[in-house]
Amino acid sequence: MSRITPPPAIVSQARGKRGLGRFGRLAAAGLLPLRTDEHGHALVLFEGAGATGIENILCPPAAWAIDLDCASPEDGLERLPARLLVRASTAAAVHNDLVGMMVEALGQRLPHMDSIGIDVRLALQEAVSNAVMHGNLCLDGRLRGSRDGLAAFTQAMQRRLADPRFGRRPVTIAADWNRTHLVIRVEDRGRGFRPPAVSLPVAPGACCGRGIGQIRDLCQRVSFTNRGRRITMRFRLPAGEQA
Amino acid sequence: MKYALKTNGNTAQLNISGTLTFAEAPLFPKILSELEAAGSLNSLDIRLGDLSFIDSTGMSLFVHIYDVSQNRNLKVSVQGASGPVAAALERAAFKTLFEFK
Repeated sequence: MSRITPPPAIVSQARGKRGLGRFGRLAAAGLLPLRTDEHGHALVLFEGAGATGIENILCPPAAWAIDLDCASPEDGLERLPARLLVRASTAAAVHNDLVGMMVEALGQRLPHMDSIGIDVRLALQEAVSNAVMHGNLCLDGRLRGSRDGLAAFTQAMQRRLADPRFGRRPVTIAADWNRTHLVIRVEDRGRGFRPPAVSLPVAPGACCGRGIGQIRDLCQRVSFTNRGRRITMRFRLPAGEQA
Repeated sequence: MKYALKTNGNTAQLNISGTLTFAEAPLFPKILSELEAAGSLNSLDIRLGDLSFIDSTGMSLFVHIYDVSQNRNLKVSVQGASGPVAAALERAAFKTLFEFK
């Protein structure tokens, strides 16, 4: 691996003797594609299992927040260009409001985003929900269509969250922007899926199937790559934003 | 998310506060069981004044409540939804399922 970026400032919130972990050592050596800008130049390392008080973890000067409890936290970051990035284990994504954290951090950097803030939050919430539930936890949303199915769905959810093979899979939210657009990517490490070409209206009494249609309604453009494991959502920024 | 189900005779009130998202899904069967165990009800008021955010998984709880109401001839009304919660329920056309106050 060759040096590709100047090393970031590293802030470790990890407890105990873990130190920086492999991820932190790679970052300290400048071997990870961390971008810095006027808003952020710091990498925050945390432990997602039982983490509390991480809602402000992406406040400037933080640019990246990485959960050291993830499986292979350094994998694939070069495919996620981002000024702002959080990668957390699936278990941490369930127990913490990653979406609220990201939207708050974006608002600190893009103060004119207010008028689209709720759209961004709604779309991002659906994307993270899909990444966690259907991606990393491999749960079939159609199960929720009946009471018995709902019980089976939630039992499987809890069982898999406690299983490190599922619970440690990372969910990544990566945001990048310029003067006119905000692009947010969400990636999981599940088995992937084939997204529908179009989203048809969902009956009010349906228990599932709203998420992707809602995302498409809220974004200027949506695309899926990596066999459905990565969604890219593009939003037009209100006039007045400066990159 | 926090919830509280209170009954008074044939009526019940379900208060839901905080955020109602996929992370709360494990609570849904419990809420539905409590609702069914509440005895013979004629009406249920769902109060959402302190609910700040909901996603599509959270909305599926209301679909199950609707199914319960259909099976038990229960009149359900939704009160206090505002901001993004009201917008999400409106977008999902839940006004065709419940009375909104």
